[in-house]
Amino acid sequence: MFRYSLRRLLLVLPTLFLVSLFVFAIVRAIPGDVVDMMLEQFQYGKSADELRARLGLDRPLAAQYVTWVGQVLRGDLGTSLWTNRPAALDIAARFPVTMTLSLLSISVSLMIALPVGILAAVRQDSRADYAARSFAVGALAVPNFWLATLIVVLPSYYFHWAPSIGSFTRFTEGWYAYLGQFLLPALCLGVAQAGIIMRMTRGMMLEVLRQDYVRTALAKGLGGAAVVLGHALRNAAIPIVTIIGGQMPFYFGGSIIMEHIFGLPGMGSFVLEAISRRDYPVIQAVNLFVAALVVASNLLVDLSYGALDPRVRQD
Amino acid sequence: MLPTPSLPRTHPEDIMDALSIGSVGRRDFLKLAGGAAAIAAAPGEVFAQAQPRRGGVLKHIGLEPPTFDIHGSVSYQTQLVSSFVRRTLFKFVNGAKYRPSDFTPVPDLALKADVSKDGRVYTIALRPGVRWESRAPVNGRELVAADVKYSMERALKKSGYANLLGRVEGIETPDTLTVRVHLADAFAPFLHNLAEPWNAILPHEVEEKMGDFKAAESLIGCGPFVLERYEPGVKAVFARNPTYYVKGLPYLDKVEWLFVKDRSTQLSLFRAGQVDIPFYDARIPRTDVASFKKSNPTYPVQFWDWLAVRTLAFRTDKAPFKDPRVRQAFSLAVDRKKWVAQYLEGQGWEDPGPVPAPMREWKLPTSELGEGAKWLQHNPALARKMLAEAGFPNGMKVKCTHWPGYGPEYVEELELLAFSLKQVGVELQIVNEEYGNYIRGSFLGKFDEASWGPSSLFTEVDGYLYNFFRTGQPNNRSHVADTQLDVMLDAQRRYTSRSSRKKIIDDIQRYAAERAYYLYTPYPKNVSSWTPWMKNYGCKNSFDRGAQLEVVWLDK
Repeated sequence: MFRYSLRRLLLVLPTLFLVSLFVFAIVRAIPGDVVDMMLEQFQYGKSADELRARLGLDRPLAAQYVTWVGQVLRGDLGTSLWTNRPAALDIAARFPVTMTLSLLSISVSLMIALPVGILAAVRQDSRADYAARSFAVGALAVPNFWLATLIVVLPSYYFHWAPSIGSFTRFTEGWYAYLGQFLLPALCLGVAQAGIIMRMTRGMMLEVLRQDYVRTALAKGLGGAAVVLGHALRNAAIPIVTIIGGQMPFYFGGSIIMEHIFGLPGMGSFVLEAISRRDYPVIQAVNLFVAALVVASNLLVDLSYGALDPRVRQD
Repeated sequence: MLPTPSLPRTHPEDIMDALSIGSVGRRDFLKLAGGAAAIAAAPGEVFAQAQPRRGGVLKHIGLEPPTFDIHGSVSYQTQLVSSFVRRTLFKFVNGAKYRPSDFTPVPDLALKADVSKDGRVYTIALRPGVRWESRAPVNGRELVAADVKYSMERALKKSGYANLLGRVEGIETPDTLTVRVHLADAFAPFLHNLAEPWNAILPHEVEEKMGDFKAAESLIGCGPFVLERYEPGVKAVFARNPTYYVKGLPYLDKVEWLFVKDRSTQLSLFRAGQVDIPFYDARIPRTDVASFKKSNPTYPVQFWDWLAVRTLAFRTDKAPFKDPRVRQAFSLAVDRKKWVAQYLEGQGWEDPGPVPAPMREWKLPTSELGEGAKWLQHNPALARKMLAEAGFPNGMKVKCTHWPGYGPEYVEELELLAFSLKQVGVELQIVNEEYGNYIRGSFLGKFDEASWGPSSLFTEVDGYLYNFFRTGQPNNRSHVADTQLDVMLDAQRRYTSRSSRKKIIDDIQRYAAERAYYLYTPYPKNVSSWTPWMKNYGCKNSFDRGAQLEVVWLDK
């Protein structure tokens, strides 16, 4: 298991290097130069050359990249060109919001998908199965932003009620209120993903339930619940965990829309504003941070294989 | 100095009443400024009219500023937020009784202003006893002439709007409450522009201590509100300034300026009564008006005059738009009356430009435009004939850049323009641009053939003339380079008498109509709404939100 974990960890390093190169290059490929914007839109200076030099953007790209990587390795993610605020400060303030929303969304997905998927598999071709499959298709078909908009708009029109938006409560001000404001966006984001996970759960469970060892366990007199949850589900779990891990970028991306609609101060609105202002250090910092998180979540998924399946550990 | 008339002690809101005489001349303004100052300075007010209520928290959908430095940015988001806390020497009248484009100035931090006969020297008397906030680094010290000098010099050095102060040669402070500004040439918009939020007075200590005014912590002033809390991405909370120089104002305890970005969420919160104002200027979408009246019948809905005109800008420096016949043919293709009557359902302006129709004191009626009025008629046959004479008998294709992010209403207007032009054989090929590209390119005249979009908002007529037509100006999107027009544009800035200035602005309008350097398309009135318990709110074409809300109260 140690060698397996170490190998996976070492694979992360070249991935992060490539990600850093990509992030650095892609930010500069966005049409519209920050210096032009600062001068022409916001009048942040008098001369383009002077401003470019002041921002350190007059040096060769390779030199800028090396400087940036050096800063990142020292824990400095850069400073906003517009506000002079360290990007790490804003990320630290906003990341918990996005992370909470993502984790709650995953929880919602799992709370819906696992029981429904298992039920659909155990009672294949029953009414419950058909209902579950219809739900999955429906959840996949309904865009989360549409669902969120309906949740916000319709009650206000018919009942003069709207979710409490615009007065964000920090965790330190009350965990109950803090979590409460994430329920609706997490539901919107989680339902769509629940459809995908439910289908995968059902498919894998159907496959596993037909295996000889399941039949043997049942023949030996083990209870249905123990067989399904203790043996079948564990063996069906690897593809399900892979799906969840692979969906992390989706949860982050989806949270941008939910943050926008529900007025949550997460990473989404922050990075969108940074992009519209061509705030290179902030865009780089956020992208690198999110990329590192995705890499970390994939690493966790890889490591969980070992925990779920002993054969992987011996590999 | 002009004498300060003796006036009865009254409520500061009556300053607005006293000055509610529509547009006034610059010299008239100076007199009024002095009089109004005397009223405003009088403590111990007596309310004669409907009693305003004190207290309450106003929840307002707002915009998060990119920076808090009013000189480091021409962003209107910055001006909106800054105006709650930082104040200007003068301000415009505010309240429910005033037209959205009534820019009658009244004193704010100044008491009065005197101008020399040649229009080059302004002597401004400051209001005594105005104090900065009671916190470091200003610690409640008195506002003095040195603050004004510092702020003006900083604006001249750093602001993108610096040219709107004219050519300032020097600023003197003869005593602690007097500022004298010397201009190289007379500059008619000078006093008006001192009332713009980007000209707010700043305390020098903040820059000395913090290095700049970019951070929220630097938002320290002497206005009606103080910044109580700023949560990035969430809201800014402004609380009543207990040391505000106008006794009794503001009525509100607090204003919560919420950074909710999604439009449908903003409107839902408003429908549900969770916010009092659904946008930074209370706007609601025109398309939602009917459903809104149905869901919230008690909420006031007001159509009001907006100043952001729409223009189709041409590359008049090269073919085919160098030929005035082509531009005039484009103008003839548009049926302005039908546009307003049918598409805008009567709630809009045919406005042929360049002065926006709501600026009534400057606007020349179409009937007085002379020869130029001919090109404002709808005459497709003549348009086709003129295009043929200009060398386009089979019509033409024109690439037109545009930023679709302005919203669906704008996209529809552009499509309507394209449809109108198609009737005379012109195919308008719409090129949608990304915001960054548009704002640094097309918005500043960097396009190949044509570009359509709304203009920036200016409160002084000069903004719609000098910026649009003067050779070399960055907002001269049509690349106009017309010596005769330049002479007139420079002259209107120098005329110290309002009537003389009006004459030359009339001439500019006639000349511009004849040359058709821009095609001004009709535009809708804004439509706004607010909660019924908000009183004395008046829509305004200005980013001075602080002054607009200091006279508002809640009557729940």
